[in-house]
Amino acid sequence: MFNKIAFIMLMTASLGALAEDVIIRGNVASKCVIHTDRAGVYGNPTPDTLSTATADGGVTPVVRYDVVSAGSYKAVITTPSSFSSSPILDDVISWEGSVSVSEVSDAGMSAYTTNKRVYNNTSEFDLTIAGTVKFKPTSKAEYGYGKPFPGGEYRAIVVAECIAL
Amino acid sequence: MANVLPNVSGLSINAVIYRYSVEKVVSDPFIVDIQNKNARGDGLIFHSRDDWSGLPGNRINRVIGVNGIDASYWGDGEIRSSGIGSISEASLVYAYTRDSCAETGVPIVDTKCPNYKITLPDIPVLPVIPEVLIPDLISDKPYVKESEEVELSKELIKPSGKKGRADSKISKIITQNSLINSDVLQKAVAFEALNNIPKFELYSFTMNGGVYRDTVKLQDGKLPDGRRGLVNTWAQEELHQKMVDLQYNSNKKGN
Repeated sequence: MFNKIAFIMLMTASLGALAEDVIIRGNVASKCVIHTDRAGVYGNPTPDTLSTATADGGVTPVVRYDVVSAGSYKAVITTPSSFSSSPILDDVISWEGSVSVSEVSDAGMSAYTTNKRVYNNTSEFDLTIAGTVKFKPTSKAEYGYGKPFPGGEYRAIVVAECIAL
Repeated sequence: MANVLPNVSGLSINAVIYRYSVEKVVSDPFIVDIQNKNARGDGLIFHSRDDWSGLPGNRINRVIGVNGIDASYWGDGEIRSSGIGSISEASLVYAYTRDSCAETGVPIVDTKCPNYKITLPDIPVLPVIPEVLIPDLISDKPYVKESEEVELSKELIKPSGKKGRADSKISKIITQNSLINSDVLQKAVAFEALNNIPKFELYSFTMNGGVYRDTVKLQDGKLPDGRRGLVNTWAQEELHQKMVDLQYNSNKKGN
């Protein structure tokens, strides 16, 4: 009798050891990569103006989107509406900005320019074709009513995002 | 393509990278073809088309992988457009790799190549030393012709007065021997020369063991100055004084 009980207990213990947690792991690589190809520089053509335009002595920044999956993302690029760092400014600043397609890896991407949506100081582009596309955001700031900018360093930020559709 | 790609074998094209800018009206049709002829046959080895019809002009930068096509297949390339529009700032780049193992007409220098062969420089063939003579060389007996060997043996056997002549004969034979470059013979000559150093046997002189004490002793415990040295010192001092006076007087006269 004792032997039978001992045997049943052993069986129960061995059945409990069969249970195991199975782990499933996975990595998702980004299918949309943003890279700053060129940082911008503000030119100061007149005392009250800062501009990235080449004609104004500035350098237009270039931001590159590498898209692996076509039609899955949209590029959202926001031009500056304030300085991230600057001398103390006590007057109003008037901001202008735009984003254009500067270089494509597929001729069809050229349609991004005509199909872009613009609101406030933000431009949206549907990335419908896989490949690389470069955008050129421009920025222009005018201080007060013909008021000279105070001397010092000025910094502004262009926000480039890749948002899944 | 001969003036575009390096003129070496083992070259393969991995990618074609082209850039150009298009200026056109959006509604106009415009097609751009980038292509290369097949140098080994008819048709094209590479073709890519960009259709700008209904699109605004822009700058394109495109990389197209071609998976390592042998460079010999690549004929002349061109960027051809059709429609209404214009192309500017065009460039076409071929990305290639070179397989050093696939070179033809030149020796393979990469040791990792499967067809690598060791190439030895031309080395002049030296006369082979007969094996039967090698033991003779080791035992300080130079290689000689059979006739000379017999003559030499006769001279060496002579009891006295002829050894010097025999030694000179050995030296002469060694100098004339064509095996002078042999290491064994060179060693034999070196040992022979070592035996001819005068009083060489003194180098092997052995001294008896024990303590060798100083045997020089000062008899009365004094070491007086030598008279000869004193006279010599006076003479030098006198001469020095004369020379100084001579210089002084000559300077005085000059002034």
